[in-house]
Amino acid sequence: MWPAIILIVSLVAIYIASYILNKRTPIPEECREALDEASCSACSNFSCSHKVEEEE
Amino acid sequence: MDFASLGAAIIFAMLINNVILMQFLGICPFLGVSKRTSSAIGMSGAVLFVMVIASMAAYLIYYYILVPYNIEYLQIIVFILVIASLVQLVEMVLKKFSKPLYKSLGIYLPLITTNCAILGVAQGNIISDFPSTMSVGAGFVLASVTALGTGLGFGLIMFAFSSIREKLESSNVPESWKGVPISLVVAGLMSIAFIGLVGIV
Repeated sequence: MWPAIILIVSLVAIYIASYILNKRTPIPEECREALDEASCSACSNFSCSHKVEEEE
Repeated sequence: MDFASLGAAIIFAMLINNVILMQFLGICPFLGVSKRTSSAIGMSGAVLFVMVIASMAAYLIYYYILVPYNIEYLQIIVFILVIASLVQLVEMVLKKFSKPLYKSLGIYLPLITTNCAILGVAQGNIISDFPSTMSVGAGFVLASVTALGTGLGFGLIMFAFSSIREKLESSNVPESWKGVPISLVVAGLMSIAFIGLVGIV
């Protein structure tokens, strides 16, 4: 039981850490054009960093 | 394990047991990101990249953590978390260190988190149970090669389908068949064509 809980908690912690680190890493200026071109709206992926930036 | 077996594994994963047309996984990007060939190539590159890394990580976690502690029943949730974390890490590394690669693959990376093809391959490698007939190391190599072949097969179909869709845009298609209906008919015909490859290996 305990290995399962420890594993899940550590994986969730790794995911949260990687999400925060990814969000804090700025998108390179030369790549912004490609992101604007894509203009994605149909995708419902709430963790998408591009979408979050667009909303802000 | 010889190169002939690895080559056969790549051809099997790429053509005979194709992830889109034979297993019907990854249908969302197949229909959603195949309007332009450039988008299809970008998506295929990102899927190939993440699929190989995620399969390797999932295989190692399964045989070195889940099996020793008898918690194999957690494999799906563990694989989902591993894939989601890997995608975030890969995106961050590309942003920081490889701007050209991020420019071509970056926009498609978040979509891969929810791509069932990645989870399907990681899960398939475990279900195949390679170590019952070979060592974990050899199974790891075979799982990685299978992921590579599956990613290449995904890319091949995405490229072929996007080329056909681009051609269809300038073709004389009846009004009611334009867009998704004719794309689904083409996808069905491609799937039937790929059934003909069963039995090669």
